[in-house]
Amino acid sequence: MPEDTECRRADELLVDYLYGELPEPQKSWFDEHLQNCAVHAEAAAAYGKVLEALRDHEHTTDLAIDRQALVARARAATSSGGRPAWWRIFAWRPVVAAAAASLVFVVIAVVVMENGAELRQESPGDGRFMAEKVRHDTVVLPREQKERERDVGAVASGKLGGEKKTSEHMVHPAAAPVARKPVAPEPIARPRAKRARKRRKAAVRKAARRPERPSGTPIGEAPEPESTAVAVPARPKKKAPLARQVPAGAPVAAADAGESQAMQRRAYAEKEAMRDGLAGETRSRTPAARAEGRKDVALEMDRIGPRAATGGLAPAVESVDKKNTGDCTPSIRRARRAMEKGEAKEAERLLSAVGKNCPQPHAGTAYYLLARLYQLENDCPRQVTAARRALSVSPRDPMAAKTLLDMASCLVRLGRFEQARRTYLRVIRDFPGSAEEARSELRLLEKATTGR
Amino acid sequence: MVAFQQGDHAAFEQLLLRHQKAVTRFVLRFVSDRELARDLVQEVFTRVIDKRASFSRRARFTTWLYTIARNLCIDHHRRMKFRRHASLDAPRGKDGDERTLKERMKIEQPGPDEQADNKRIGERIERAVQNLPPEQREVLLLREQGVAFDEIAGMVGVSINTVKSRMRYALEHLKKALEAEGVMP
Repeated sequence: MPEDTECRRADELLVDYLYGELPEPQKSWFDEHLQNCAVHAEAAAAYGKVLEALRDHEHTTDLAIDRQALVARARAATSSGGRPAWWRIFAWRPVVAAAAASLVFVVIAVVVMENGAELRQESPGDGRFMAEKVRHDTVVLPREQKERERDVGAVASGKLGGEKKTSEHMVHPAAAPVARKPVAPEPIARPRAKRARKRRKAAVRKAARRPERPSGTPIGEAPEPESTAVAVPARPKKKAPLARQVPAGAPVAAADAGESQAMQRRAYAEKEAMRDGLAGETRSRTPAARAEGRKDVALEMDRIGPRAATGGLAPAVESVDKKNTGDCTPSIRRARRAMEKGEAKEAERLLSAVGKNCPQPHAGTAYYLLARLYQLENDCPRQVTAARRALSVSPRDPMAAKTLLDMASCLVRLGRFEQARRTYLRVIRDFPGSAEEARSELRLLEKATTGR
Repeated sequence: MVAFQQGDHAAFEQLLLRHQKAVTRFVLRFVSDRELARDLVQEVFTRVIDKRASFSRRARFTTWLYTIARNLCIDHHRRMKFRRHASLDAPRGKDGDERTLKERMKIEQPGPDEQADNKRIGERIERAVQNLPPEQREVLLLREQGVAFDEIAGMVGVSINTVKSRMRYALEHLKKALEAEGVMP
């Protein structure tokens, strides 16, 4: 097997060349290589003859299968046992079910919110009265009677505001008997009721839009924001937006001013440390960092040790943020997207940057993806390099077994059979889940190499 | 296939016309037994009818069809392993790479004009294909039916590089076998 780089590349491309699947620049290169390399010229010619012989001497394919039986079966399946064309909508059953459920949910939510808003506006705080109100509104009453009852109800609820409410108080005395005896609907009653409801809703919306103004504040002067007591925040969820991660006491104004995420985190971490009275103490700052949801900061604090005692949380946060300069996770996400789109160059650029600049586990993931990218690109030498780097950085990654198998396959194509053999043995030893495939490949390799 | 899924039975006849020969060629080369191949091809198209609902429009029909054919051939190959009696067509040897009894019987009476006889050359090629390890044989036959390497990788469940390696081994084996048989110089 030839050892120089050109021949290795030719080995990789040979099968694609035989089936005419090489893109133009590679095909020209291969043709040129065949002019200079006797080994590959001979192999390509021999394999070409093998394929030609296979195609020239095919079996006669006029086997007498029972076509009538098949056609009859197909007819039976599509007519009596088969489903009509409209049935195929049920192939989308899960989607249809989900859409229907969402629709029902939305309708219920709208109805509930509508009634809730209406009742809240008119009679706050009395559940029974609200229920009565709903019942009342569903029965069409003459307008005057309805308004009178509403006035009386408002007075009653105002009176009862500070008292303990009993069941007698909750049911409006005037409304109940009328509701039980519905009056025949006037033709104009329903539109009026609708208009009244619309008016009330509009009023609610208007009130919601208008900024609340304390009684003493003159019009045009913004009210003072209410100060919220600073509380120890619960550990924020990982993917929650930053605005939610920073509690009431944290510098939200800075966030509004467009400061970066890192700045906000730093400021908040400082504030946390100050609030907890931890300045000058190392040991309990690690929990503070943990409470902030920054495991990496906590680990960094543990690592820095006594140095952290002088500077609060800031040095650890700074150090970690410096390591994360590559903006690792979004870059990996972008690289994956680029790989899916077939933008190999962009994916390679992003993954290389993450591999160089980011800490673990981002670097390991980047190298594994890079190996996968090169494998898809049929670039075996680079695949092997990236795979080795990935395995050295993160040997127990879930992608490790697959990457090792790809690497071994590449090594075979590069003619490095001994290395390929060792790689398969490593898969068999370290990754039982992929051992079967590795064993089968190893058998083939050994058979091929001993036959040579 | 979509028309057939929607209830057009005439579409199935079209499918049968278009693909029967290719499937037969594939199955016949895989099992190398005409009677068995006929049964398997019949079974392939029966499954096409029965499993039509599971065909997804996103997949290529040929890939789906050859997946069915390949699975049937593999199942048959597995069943053969458990047969107690020695079949004339069964591959022999540890890895199935030795000649079958039928082939040995044939090879014992070579005719004087064997080199020139086209039919006999065909038989030798088929024999060489039969002697390939199953993993290599299926890759070679599927590729010869026009299934792309990445689709084969998906069907077989290995990487595309592995598929290409198997293809390379298969060609190397065939070359040696045909040279030994005198089919190739």
